[in-house]
This record gives sequence, structure tokens and C-alpha cells, in this order.
Amino acid sequence: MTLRRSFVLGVLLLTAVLLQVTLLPLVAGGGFVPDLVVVLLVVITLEVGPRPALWAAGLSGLLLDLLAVSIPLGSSVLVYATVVYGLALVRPYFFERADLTTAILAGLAAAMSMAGQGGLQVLLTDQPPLAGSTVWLGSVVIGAFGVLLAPVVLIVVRRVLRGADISGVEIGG
Amino acid sequence: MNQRRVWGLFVGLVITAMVLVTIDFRDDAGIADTARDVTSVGFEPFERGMARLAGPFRRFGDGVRDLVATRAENQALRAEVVELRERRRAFADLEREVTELRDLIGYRAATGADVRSARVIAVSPSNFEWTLTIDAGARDGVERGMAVVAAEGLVGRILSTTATASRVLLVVDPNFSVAARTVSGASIGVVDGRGSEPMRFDPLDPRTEAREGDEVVTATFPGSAIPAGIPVGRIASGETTGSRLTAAYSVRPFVDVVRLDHVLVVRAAPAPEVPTFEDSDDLTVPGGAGRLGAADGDVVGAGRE
Repeated sequence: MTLRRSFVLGVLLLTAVLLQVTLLPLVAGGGFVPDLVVVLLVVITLEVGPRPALWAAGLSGLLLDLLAVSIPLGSSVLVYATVVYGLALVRPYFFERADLTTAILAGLAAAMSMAGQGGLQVLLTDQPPLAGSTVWLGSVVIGAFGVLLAPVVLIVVRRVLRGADISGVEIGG
Repeated sequence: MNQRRVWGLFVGLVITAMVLVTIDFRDDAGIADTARDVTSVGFEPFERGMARLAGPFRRFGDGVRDLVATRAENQALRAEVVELRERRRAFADLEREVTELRDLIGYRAATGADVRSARVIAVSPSNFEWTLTIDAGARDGVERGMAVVAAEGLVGRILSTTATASRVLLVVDPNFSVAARTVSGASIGVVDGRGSEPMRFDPLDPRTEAREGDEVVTATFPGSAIPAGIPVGRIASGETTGSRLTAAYSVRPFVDVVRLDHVLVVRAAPAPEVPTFEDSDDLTVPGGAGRLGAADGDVVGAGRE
């Protein structure tokens, strides 16, 4: 991973994290905030490659955990890393650069992220467990948000990468 | 090779996450909290800048949300206003009804008359006939000719009865007339209804003068079932002919006949105590025991102005 690419991805990630904690709560649907970071991770996985995406998952997860108060440190790292790694495993079986596939995968990843974070909250904290229906509904809503956000994120990431002349998928993964 | 790297990186991240979770849970020194504080402080300018950038969006979102909420609130408040207005109307109606019933009870207590309360169930459908239908009839002891009163005064007299209902001819009906007198001047005469115009009081003796504002009450009259002393109305204006051969006064009725809900049918008024005439123990006083009426000068419904 070149320094320039690392910098560009870092800026993208930082922007996503900032949007996640400032702007996106405004468009919460049914009390569930869209997970822009996971959508960006999906796009990075598919557009750049799994390794940068895993690094991005670790960094963004850690940032979000640090910016939160009640979420156990490391839980978002675990969830995002698992989502990205799972995506990396199935990635060879999809048509790459298919936008619809990206959107669907982003939705699925967002839903899984929501479910995973809900599960970890139950396992790692002494908070009363969320109702199954709430987790299910949250996963659906955030998954839908993920599908909607994916095209926008895809366009932005592609433009930024092309602008920085660092587009191209890593081989393997 | 690359797959192995990815796997290695993933495992590394999982282990890092586990370590972080462990540190967070067993953090006696407060390292995690310190890290959170540092991150918050470090991010604060960015968050503030982003918040400033997001300000218009936030305000727009808030505005839209407020608009929707205001609309919903407005609709709810409008519905509440309608409901409260209806309640207020119903309450005012109930209040009026309670006042009317209280007055009627007061009337009954004041006069000691044998009365039967009744509810007005219908009014005349015609614009040329002033009658009411009440829910008391022959089964309740109501008979033709009996007086019907409200707390304010005379309402009319029973025109016809069925077993359970009666028709009341109102004092304002042109066919209604009753013997009456003024309270102040004791001018005796007849009060006639004149429909939507004020009633007319014709004194029998045109020389007796009635003043504006004088109260007119019913007077005894042989064969009449209407007790004496029931307030009828107040003299509004009067006129006499130049030769003073005739006089007529317009009388405004005390009872607002169109706003009645409950009335009393006077079945029998207490008989006046007639002193025994000297040396006339066997004399039968006409209109004595069992007659309806009260001594002159008494006003049934004491407590009026």
C-alpha cells in the first residue's frame, strides 16, 4: 500500500467517521443511524482490496469505539474486521465492479454489522439485551440505508481514487 | 501469499480487538478512558467544523421535522379545540338545565303547591302557534286548564292531554288570555298573548294607571285553574285613549318560552286561609277550600325582584 493511497484512504475514512458522528444521526430512520463506515469499508474492499480494507476496518473501528462512551473498546474493530474478511472471502465469487452487487453487499454488510454489534453489546456489557425484533428491525433499516448509501460512496471513492491516480484492485484476497 | 497476508491481518485485528476489550474491562489505570478523552479532544475541532458544515442540513432537517410535528400538533390541537368547544357547549347547556331545575325546586318549596315537573319534548312546528309538548300527561294527574310555570313565572296552560304527554298553550300565543293584575297599583285586567309581539294587558278599569316596570301577576278568576300571584311579565309601555275610555299596556313576559327545558305543572295550589265570617259558620265561601289561588298581594315565587 503506497503512502499516497494510505493518505487518501485515511482522509476518506476520517471523513466517513466524522460524518458518522455528526451528520448521519440527523437522518436516522426509526432511531437507527446509517452505518456509512461499513459501506465505505465494503467499497474499499471491492474497489481497492481486502488488505487496505482490513486496515481501514481496524482504524475506523478503533476511532468509533474511542468516540463512543458505552461501547467496549475493540468491539467495532472486531465487527468491521469480520465483515471485511467475510467479504474478502466471498469477493472472488462476485462480478467485480458491478455496482448493484456492491450496493447489495453493502446492505448485507451493514445489516450484519448492526447484528454483530448488537450481539457484542449483549455479550460484553451488562446492559439489558435488546429485543430480537429490535435487532432484526435495526438490521433491516441499516441494511436498507447501506444499499442507498453505497452508490454515493462508490462514486466518491472512485473519483477520489482516480483523482489520486491510485485506482486498481489488488490482486488476490 | 496475499490471502495469507489478509488472513494474518484479520487474525491480528481480532487479537487486537480482544486485547482492547480486555484492557477496557480490566482497566484500573484508566488507559481506555484517557484514550477516549484524547480522541474526543483531538476530534473536537473536526467535529465542530463538521457540525458547522452540517448546520444548514441540521437546521433544514430540524425544520422539516418541526414542520411535520407542528402540523401533527396543529391537527391534534384543532381536534382538541373542537372537542372542548363541544364540551363547553354541552356544559353550558347542562349548567342552564341545572339552574332551571334548581329554580323549579325553589319554586316548589316556596309555594308549597302540588306540582309535577315535566320535560319539554317538543315545540310547535308552526310559526303561528306558540305551544309546547311536555312529557307529563293524564297518568301524572295533569288536566286541561292547569297552569304551567317555570321559575321565572307563568309559561302557559294545559291545552290538551294524552296519557303520557300534554300540549301547553304558551302565554305568548294569541289564543292565550289570563286574568291578571299589577302588583303595585292593583289594577285588575286581562293579559293576552300576541305571538311574537309583547303581550297586552287590558285593565278592566281604564282609570287605574299602570306604570312602566310594574310587575303583572295572575289574578283569581272563577273557573280558572291558574293560581293567582304567578308572575306573568313586566309593563313595558302603555297607552290610553284621549277620553281614557280604554287603556292597554304591552307586557314583556318573564319567561323566555323558547329556551325552556323543564317546567312545572301546577296540579293544585295551597288553599288560602279564609277567615270565618262573623255569624256565618255555615257560610260556604266561593272558591274556598280546594280552590286554586292565593291571597291578593301575594306573589307566588317569592324571591323575585
